[in-house]
Amino acid sequence: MRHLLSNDELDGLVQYMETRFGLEPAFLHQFSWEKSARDFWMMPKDLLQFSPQDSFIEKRGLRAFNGDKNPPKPTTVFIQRFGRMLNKNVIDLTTQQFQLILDKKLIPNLGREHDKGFVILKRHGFALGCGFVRGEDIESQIPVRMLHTISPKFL
Amino acid sequence: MAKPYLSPVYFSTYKDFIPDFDQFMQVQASLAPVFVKRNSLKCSEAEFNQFLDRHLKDGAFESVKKVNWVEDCFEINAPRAIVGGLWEHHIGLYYMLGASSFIPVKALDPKPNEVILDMCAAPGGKSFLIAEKMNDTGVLIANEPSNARRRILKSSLDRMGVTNTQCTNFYGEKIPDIGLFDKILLDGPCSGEGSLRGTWSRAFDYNRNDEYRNTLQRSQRKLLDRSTDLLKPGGRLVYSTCTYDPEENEMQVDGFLKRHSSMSLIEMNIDGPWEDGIHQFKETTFNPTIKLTKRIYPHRFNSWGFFFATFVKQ
Repeated sequence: MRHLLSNDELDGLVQYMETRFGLEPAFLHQFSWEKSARDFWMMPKDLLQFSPQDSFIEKRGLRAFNGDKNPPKPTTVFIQRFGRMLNKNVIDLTTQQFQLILDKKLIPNLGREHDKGFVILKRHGFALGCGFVRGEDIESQIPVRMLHTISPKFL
Repeated sequence: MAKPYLSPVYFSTYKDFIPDFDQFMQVQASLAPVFVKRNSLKCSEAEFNQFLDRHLKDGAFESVKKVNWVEDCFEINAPRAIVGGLWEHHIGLYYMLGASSFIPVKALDPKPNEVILDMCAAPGGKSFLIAEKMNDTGVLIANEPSNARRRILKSSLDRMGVTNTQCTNFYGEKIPDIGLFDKILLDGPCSGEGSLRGTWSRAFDYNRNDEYRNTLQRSQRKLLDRSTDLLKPGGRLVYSTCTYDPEENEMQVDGFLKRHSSMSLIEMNIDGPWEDGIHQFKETTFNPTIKLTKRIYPHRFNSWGFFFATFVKQ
């Protein structure tokens, strides 16, 4: 069962995304937001008003945040769609770093350059998904099923 | 791998109306090229050109050619597995689909903030094209009754990063009165002759099974009938198939026009090497406006074969 995200919950998301990733605060307010058992979903305002019976809906809008985590983690599909608007805590991966991710290894956070928490992993300027900084290592949060199907020959 | 084989007798009943039939048979027996469509929701034209250049340099692509008549579509000379395995594909910078699939969506002409229904939406290529044309605004209902195919649909829409879409699981002919739509795309179940380019004779043999054909045609008829109830007055319906069979194309349209006086065919003014719909098949002569329907043949437009008809509701 879904319900509308409260203003407080949305304000929390807006503040976190601005502080951590530099996302314009007005951006998330353009959308309607729903919360399912675990996740936060975004959609144009019109879509929310046009709703067949819930039992027939399998997916409405884009699953934007995983609400299980605190703070909520932006999903891979959200980052891949809106990554170009995220400009703080971003790592543009080298070929070697991308290969480490495909090999399911950690990326060294040399000199502890990045603060603890989520970072955006990009390649040639395009967002791939999230990473998580843990001290001297950065762990990929990109779904393994996606990594499995990527050709390592053309990175 | 065995050489693809096309049964020479399969299309013989179409010889009378497919122009340059020998050339058609030659092209139909060859594999269709690999096409990609840039996702304008995620990357600009300049960024996409850089992506194409990068993979021309690293050898993933042998050559790239812009496709005429459709926007942001490129024919890639590379194995399908390579194009589908690139990380840029997995993050949704592009979608792989036949170039002909664009044309019914062009006929639908989606606009921002409209309310649109894609009745048989899986695997999601046309839903993505519609959502993109709507600039990811308004409402798109992407309906698909098959669980397995709906999983692919949802995954496609996620990968392309679409927010304006709601996936539903109705049987198309039983979609309840959930609202009225500005536009409906009915890319119905069909025998898929146009998409079986360069494939095995066994698939064609199966396709010629009369019982299977009758089931498909019944289903097409019911879907068409239901679509009129869901369309706003003045709304647009596009019916498309990827088959050459007149019984699934012009004959369906002809019967539909007889059953629904409120629906009429319109001229689409979409430039391209399409042929007009045929006016007669076997013993049946169709409504004269059937020539407004269009056929896409692979020897005219090197992609899949397609048929489409655009209606407006009075």
